[in-house]
Amino acid sequence: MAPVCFSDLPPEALDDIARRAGPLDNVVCSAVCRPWRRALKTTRLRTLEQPSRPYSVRLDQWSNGIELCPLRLTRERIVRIPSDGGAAPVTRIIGSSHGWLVTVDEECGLSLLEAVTGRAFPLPPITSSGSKKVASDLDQMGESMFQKAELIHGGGNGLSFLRPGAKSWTALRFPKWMQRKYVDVVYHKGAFYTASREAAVTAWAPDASSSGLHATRVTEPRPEKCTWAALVESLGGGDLLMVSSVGAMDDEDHARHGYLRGSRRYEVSRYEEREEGRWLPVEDLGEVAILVGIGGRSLCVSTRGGRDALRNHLYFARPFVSFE
Amino acid sequence: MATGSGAAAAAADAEEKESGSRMITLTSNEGKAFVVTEASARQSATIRSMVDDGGCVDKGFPLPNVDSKTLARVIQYCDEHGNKEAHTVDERAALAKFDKDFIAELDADKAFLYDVTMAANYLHIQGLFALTTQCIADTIKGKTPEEIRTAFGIEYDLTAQDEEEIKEEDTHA
Repeated sequence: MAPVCFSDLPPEALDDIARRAGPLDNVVCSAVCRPWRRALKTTRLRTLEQPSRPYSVRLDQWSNGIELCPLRLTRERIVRIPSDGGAAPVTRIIGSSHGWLVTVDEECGLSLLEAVTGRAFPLPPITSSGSKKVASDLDQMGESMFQKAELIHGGGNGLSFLRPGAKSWTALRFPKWMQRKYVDVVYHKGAFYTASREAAVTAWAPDASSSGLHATRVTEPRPEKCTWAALVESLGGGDLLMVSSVGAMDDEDHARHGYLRGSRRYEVSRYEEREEGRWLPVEDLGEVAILVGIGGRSLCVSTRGGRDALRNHLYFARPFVSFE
Repeated sequence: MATGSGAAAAAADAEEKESGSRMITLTSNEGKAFVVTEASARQSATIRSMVDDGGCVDKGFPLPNVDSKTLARVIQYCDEHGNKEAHTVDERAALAKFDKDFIAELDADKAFLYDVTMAANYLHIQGLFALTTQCIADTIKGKTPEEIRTAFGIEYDLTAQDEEEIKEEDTHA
């Protein structure tokens, strides 16, 4: 028998195999041998550029470590939170965005933590101004920091944001026409979008004339139909999607397009930027599942590569909590 | 319908009466001739285009990249898919079962799986190529690079620089 020479598979075959094995395995295959590495270079780099690669995170308070399962290259990885410099142990992870975790330590200090490397950037405290060290850290991160800093606090009643290099958080002023209560906030194409439980959506964009963000109404509330809403960027970040809970069971339309869960129905709609304020129903998510974070961050994930059974589904972070 | 050259003539006659289709000779790199129906040969896009171009149908097609053992197995697939109908539910189920058994045998012999994959790629037999690459992909799924190397008998040849890059990619992915 001739020696097995799988390392000599032609690039087109390898590409096909990697595609069938799924996006994660493309990166794994690239780590097998040099010929595979060369053959998969283009596809691999494209895969690595894709945002929103999810990994599971668990805080292990006993060892003050964060456990991550990002990829199968290494089965699991414990990231130790650096405790030099007398930093207080992390007690909670309150959110995540663009690969950053927002952590809270024992003394209520906020930090951004790049979980896979363990790099931590302390954030100014919510109530008082921060130190010079913080300012220089944020300065280094530049514009991208603006995209990554995102925080909800005050139980949906207050929003604060941080400009690059700023020493303190800026509290946002809510315009009179806006209902103060919002249930979700997401960053999309240069603006923050908030959604109320009645599906009223407001866009918050940087305002040149002031240091704050300028609020623009995107969609009117639909109190008669909608009882809860979450916002999420589509896979690749091209579209803004809304998952909303519609209580009405008598509506024929919802019976056809809705996602049934318990006695509630869920709808997914897509914001049509060209027709301002219009949300078009999404009937089929395709090879995508949405992980819906209730009161937290939601995420679109690709179901390509052997996860067909998960496609076109909504998954909820925890059992539904009624907001009534 | 694939046989060695001995039984070829009889098989060709029977086939011609049955379907009126031409017979085509494929020759392995060891010079062994395989006579197949045109319908079977047309599973290969490479041969199909040569036939349609009015090429050397009578002289047959030499396949210098494919050995006899591999060609016999590839023809087995082409016969099944080229000569049999797949209109009814039962016919399709029979084909699916054939594919399942076919690939299970190959999966057990990775060296042979490799040869058939290469031949399917070279001959552009879409269905067979998909079947083999899917089989390889299924083996890869859920494995670490080390486990993949073991499964396919691949030698570790990464340089220190590659390892550095891989570490970097792992953290970004």
